[in-house]
Amino acid sequence: MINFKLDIVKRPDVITGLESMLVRIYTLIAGLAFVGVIFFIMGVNPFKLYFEVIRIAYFTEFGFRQTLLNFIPLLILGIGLAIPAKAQIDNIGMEGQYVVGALGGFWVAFTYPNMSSIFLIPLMFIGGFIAGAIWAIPIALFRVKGGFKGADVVVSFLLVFPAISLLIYMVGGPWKSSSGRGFPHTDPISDNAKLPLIGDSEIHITIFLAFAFIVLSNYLLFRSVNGIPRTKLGYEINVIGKNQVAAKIAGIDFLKIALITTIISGGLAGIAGVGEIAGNRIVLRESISSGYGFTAIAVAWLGGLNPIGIIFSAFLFAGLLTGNLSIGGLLGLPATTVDLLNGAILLFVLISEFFLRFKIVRRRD
Amino acid sequence: MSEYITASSIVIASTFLLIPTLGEIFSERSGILNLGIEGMIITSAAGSFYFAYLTRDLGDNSFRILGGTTSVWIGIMVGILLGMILASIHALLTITLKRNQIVSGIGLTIFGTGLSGLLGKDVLGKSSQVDYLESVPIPILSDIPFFGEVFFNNDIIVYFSFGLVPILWFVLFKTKYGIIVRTVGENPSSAHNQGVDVNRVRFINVVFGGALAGLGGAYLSLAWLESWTEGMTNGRGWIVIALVIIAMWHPIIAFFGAYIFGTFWVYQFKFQGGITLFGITPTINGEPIDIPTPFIEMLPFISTLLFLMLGSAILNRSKVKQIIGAPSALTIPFQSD
Repeated sequence: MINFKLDIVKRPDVITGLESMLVRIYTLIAGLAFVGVIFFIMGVNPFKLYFEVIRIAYFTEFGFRQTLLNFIPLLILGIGLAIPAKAQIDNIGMEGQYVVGALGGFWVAFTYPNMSSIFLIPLMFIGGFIAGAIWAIPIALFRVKGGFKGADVVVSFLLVFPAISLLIYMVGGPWKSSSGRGFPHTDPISDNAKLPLIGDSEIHITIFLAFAFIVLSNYLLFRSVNGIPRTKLGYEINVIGKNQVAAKIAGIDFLKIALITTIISGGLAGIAGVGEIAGNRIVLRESISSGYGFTAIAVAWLGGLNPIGIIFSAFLFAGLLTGNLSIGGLLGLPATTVDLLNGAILLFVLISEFFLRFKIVRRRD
Repeated sequence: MSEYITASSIVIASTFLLIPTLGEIFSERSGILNLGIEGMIITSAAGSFYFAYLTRDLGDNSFRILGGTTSVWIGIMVGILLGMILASIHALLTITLKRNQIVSGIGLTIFGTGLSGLLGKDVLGKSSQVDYLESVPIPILSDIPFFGEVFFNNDIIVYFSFGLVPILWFVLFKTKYGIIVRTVGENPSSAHNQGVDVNRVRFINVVFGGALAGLGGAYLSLAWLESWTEGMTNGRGWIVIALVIIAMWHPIIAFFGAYIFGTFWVYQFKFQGGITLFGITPTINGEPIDIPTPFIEMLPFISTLLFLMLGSAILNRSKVKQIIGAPSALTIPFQSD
């Protein structure tokens, strides 16, 4: 008689390297298929939907430009999310730090409109970094001193709403454009504050900054030789992420590491905000993000919290965001549709992690 | 009269916060942190509204059972069911597959937000065509001045929440099942050694938490706000998670916590039309204080953060930790061998 009972068996070695990449690709396909079924039930043809998203996002001139513009903040936010996540600190409120960072950069641009670009632009990025970092510091404090699980997640999310309220206040109040008609917005930043574009494209130089962060973080924090990261900070993050008790015994100060990683994280979110405002949007409005901060969560996890993986997943989600906005009107889908994919992929990444460590076999009696 | 209106809207806002909080307390007491509350609430809010709209012509609309027409009750049932389905996804990932509870919860929240948009896309702006839950005054009790007007002149779910608090307290602290739940959350291996199926208890509690989150979502769209708009939970799901911590995982403290937070929500709306407290308008130099609306909207979030800080300060005292701290096995998957 055939036995259908299944057992979960631990693999002798966790799958790594190329094979783990393959598992992630399967994950992605499974996630898309799962959401496809939901689309089908809701009366949307999933094949047509995915085909259109890919076509618009990567194979039309307008769409591809938008995809690259989405790619820049997603890449920076993804890497910013991965750094504290490596130390088991979850900063899911990067949307808030992004908004506050954009406000910080905008404030610099507004206060010194006539400063030479060579000084003004770096100063704007520094302003954005500081503003984003300040917004993120409570996350580290709650994570270490909070006394309850998930404190970092809850606090980081709760901080998103005041950030957006602050933006709405500034846009509708002190910074409101006098010539404004329709939705409230600010005056554009001065020409000195606008980021240089690459060639005659609309891609701003923040993309170089993003790749610099990828290289730096990979070299300084993530790259490891025989499983041991090269720098002291990278090593300490790694130990805390893997075993908090061991880290404590080894004398690693969790609060210090938490503060450093969340400040980097919030700061990078701020830089992403400044880049988007000074390179792309030029004026502030009540909404200055296409949900980048939340999409970055799935970007970082699908990328395996690894800088190289994040490049690929950021490129994928940048396309999804483009497609989501373009096809929304076409198929009558709401803007939140992309969240369905974000969430499903995040859940399937967890399932894939299970299959990296375990396999399911038929039980033999 | 106006203070009656404010006070009873506080009761409604608080009931909405209380019900998912009670469910999350049960989930966390068994050792599973479910950060997907926001996703479950918003999916249920959209789903229940959608089904209440679909079934709006079913049965006699003038006939109400316990304040709701057939379509309202179908909507509420769908809401509960959706909450349970989403919670089962979380349970499957975190209990059966032993994955990270925090990431799974975040995934569930994002997924739920997307699902709610899809469920609600056809019923946007159809608020006037849907029936809602109406108040059912309790005879005699509702005649008590002020107190009765506020607490006993409400809808059936409000009374249900009044009953749920002592019942859940009793179950958690006075019954065998409650002892099992708390042992599973504190020390799963010892529960396992006594023959308790740890994973089954956790599964049941997570799905129960999902059912109450779903009821909360249905209550949001079919009773409190009487509409469906995208993103209508507006972060309230995260306030629920904060409430569980502030309530120290205790149903009765949760009741008072929910009413404090409900008050903040109602006053946030009320203050937008001008600052008045107890009929007094505070002034500076003879001018009424004018706080810009965006800052008033921050009130519930800032106050939650302040309460969390207070809660952290209390929880960090080692004496307190021994008596009430978080369930020791929270977020730790159970491995039987």
